[in-house]
Amino acid sequence: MLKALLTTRFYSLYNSVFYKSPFKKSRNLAIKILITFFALYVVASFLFIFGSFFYSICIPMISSGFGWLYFTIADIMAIALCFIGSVYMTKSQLFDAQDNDLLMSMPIPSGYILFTRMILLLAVNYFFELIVLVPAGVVYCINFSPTAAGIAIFLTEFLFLPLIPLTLSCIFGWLLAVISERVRYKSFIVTFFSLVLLGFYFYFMFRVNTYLQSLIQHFSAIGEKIRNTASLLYHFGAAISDKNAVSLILFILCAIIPFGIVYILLAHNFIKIATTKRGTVRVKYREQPLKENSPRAALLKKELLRYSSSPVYILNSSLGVVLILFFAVSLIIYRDLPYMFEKELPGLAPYLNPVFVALICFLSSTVFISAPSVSLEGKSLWILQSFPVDGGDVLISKAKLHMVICLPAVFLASLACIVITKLSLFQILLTILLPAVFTILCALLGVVINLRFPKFDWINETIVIKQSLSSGISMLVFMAASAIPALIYGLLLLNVMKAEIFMLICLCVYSALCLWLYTYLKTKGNRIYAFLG
Amino acid sequence: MLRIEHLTKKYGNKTAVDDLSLHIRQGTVFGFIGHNGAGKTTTIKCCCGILQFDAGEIYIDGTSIKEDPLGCKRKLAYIPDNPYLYEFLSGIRYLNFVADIFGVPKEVREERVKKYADLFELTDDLAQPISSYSRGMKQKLAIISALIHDPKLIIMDEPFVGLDPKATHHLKTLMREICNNGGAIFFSTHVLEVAEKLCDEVAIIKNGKLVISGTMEEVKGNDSLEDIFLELEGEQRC
Repeated sequence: MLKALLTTRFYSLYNSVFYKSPFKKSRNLAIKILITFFALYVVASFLFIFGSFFYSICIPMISSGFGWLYFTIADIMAIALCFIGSVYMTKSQLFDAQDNDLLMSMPIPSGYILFTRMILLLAVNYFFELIVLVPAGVVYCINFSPTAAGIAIFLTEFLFLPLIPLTLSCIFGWLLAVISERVRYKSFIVTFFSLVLLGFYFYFMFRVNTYLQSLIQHFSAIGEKIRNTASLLYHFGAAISDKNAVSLILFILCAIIPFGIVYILLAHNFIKIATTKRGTVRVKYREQPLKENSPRAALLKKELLRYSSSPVYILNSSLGVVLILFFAVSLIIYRDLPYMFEKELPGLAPYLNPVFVALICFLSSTVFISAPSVSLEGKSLWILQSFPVDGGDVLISKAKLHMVICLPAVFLASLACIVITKLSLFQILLTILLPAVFTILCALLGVVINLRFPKFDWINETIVIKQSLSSGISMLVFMAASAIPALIYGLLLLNVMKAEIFMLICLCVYSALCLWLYTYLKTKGNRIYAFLG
Repeated sequence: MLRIEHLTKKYGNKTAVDDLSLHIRQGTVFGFIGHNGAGKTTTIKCCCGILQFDAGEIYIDGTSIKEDPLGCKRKLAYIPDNPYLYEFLSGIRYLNFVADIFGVPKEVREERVKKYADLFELTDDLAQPISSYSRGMKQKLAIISALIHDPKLIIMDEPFVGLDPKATHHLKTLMREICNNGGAIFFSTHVLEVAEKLCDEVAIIKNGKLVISGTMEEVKGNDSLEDIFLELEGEQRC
């Protein structure tokens, strides 16, 4: 029974990566190879990043007698990565699992269900741990000769360490589940906090070199501080570097005891956890006047509500909007940049504004709100198909959503360009119109691509938004549409024509394409949409 | 109100509906019966303009669904067998959205929402997101949304599935009222007792082909509809 449960768990994990549509016999082999290749590339990149990091701190730390700090840092990084990598999965596996009802109706002890879920989570944690501890161990072995005892202790720590992030993610996952049960504007809060975390991430990535330098320069002072204030962390590293049995026992106890307590609590309350209905806060309807809208306005409103209801949709498809706003603010902060160019590189100064415009277009190309919008209709597709509404209008409303979200940010960025650079009226018009028309082109193109590559048989919207063919093709096409003209001008036409003339040509081409795509959606698109699904 | 003429629909080599002709008159509750996979849902979807068909013609109130699909859709309401609604909307927002699409005036939609939501005991839950609704609540909402624009023709695929007895009773009463007021109902069902009591006319379809059609009396005579259905399906009653 345990074996069957475990197989099911791991099969569901496999399926979440190599998602197979129930309507298709098997996923295309080429797609499977592509996913595997991409996964290996990501893992290799992480291994390289962590390897480089440990390579830069290994010799100075261990040679100065701070070997324990080296391994403590490795442990902390492994715990952090395991936690980040598995916290949402812990929440979905333990607190939001959709198959609990089915499993509990079968003659399976509830302890088995919890145990198999924990094994799956532990396996995921081991995977993330490997990404950090393998480079740390390899770098150490390259530079120093490890002893048999050292290797044994390292492996022991490797075995027990995932219990720490798993304990933390169980607690955090429970808190997330409780919050989502009690809070009304869940998607807004999730989006807000995700953006704040993303802000911190970008800030950290901008300063990562500074932090690394500071760590290498002051590791003895940092190490002493950790040893005095958080001695438990000292024991994490000392167990390996000093082959200290007491430190090892302390580490194991630190991993086992909290996990044991959490596991006992979960096992004791599993049936209650599994049967708690985590719906939204119940709000009683109070009769109020209903607002009347035109069918087109109603369609756009519906698209806006669809968009705002899903943090996954917002965060994945619209990060470019945040980047465009960030770019606009940066231009205002560094408003002396054009003067600097005029003073020091007068030959390049005329190209500054075209470069800014190209950058806005490029950032706008990273927004792909319209690309999964048709597929997101999913099983509700019948609603609009059976309503007396023109399919072209439905499709245009999806492009409009893209424009409504992206165009204000693009306009602000264009305005920032105009404010900081001295431009003629013609240049001002180009600075406003070119990025705006490019954004409209992306909006329409995303819908057309999705119309040609729809996917309605999805179970989880994340698959459509992040992994669908339509989103992938759209991202590539949008980026190509912004980068190719810039490359053509930079490599071939720089000395042939003025940047403004080339921008005007681009504007004309983009406008013509927009017109063609709009007509396509209203005519052929309408016919395709009517019988989709 | 609904005229189906020689309708044929194929999925690849399989003929799902084969030369089907039906006429649903004004003021008629018309039951559409058949085994699983007989072609009921395919026929219904063709009538609603969401499925292309290979041959034949469908007229809604005299208008061809091929030639003027939007005009036809304005006159009808469709309730599918599995009401997948917009889970991200609240019940009231969904109803208002439907009213916007059909251009129902403000006062009229407010009045109808109150009337039907009260009738189906859904008023208190209208502010809740549809994702929190049970199967039956979603079915009730789909029914209310179909009634909100006062259609001439209602096409329903298994409308009683998931409804509680009270809601089932209200729906049956409403169906009769709509027909008495000049509308028409075309619905598929597996509940033969309901069909027998409710329908003025009935059609039985088997493997995509019409087996029998007519008024309830013509079809069943002195037997029960269940007996006739089983006989036509080639089954012996236990």
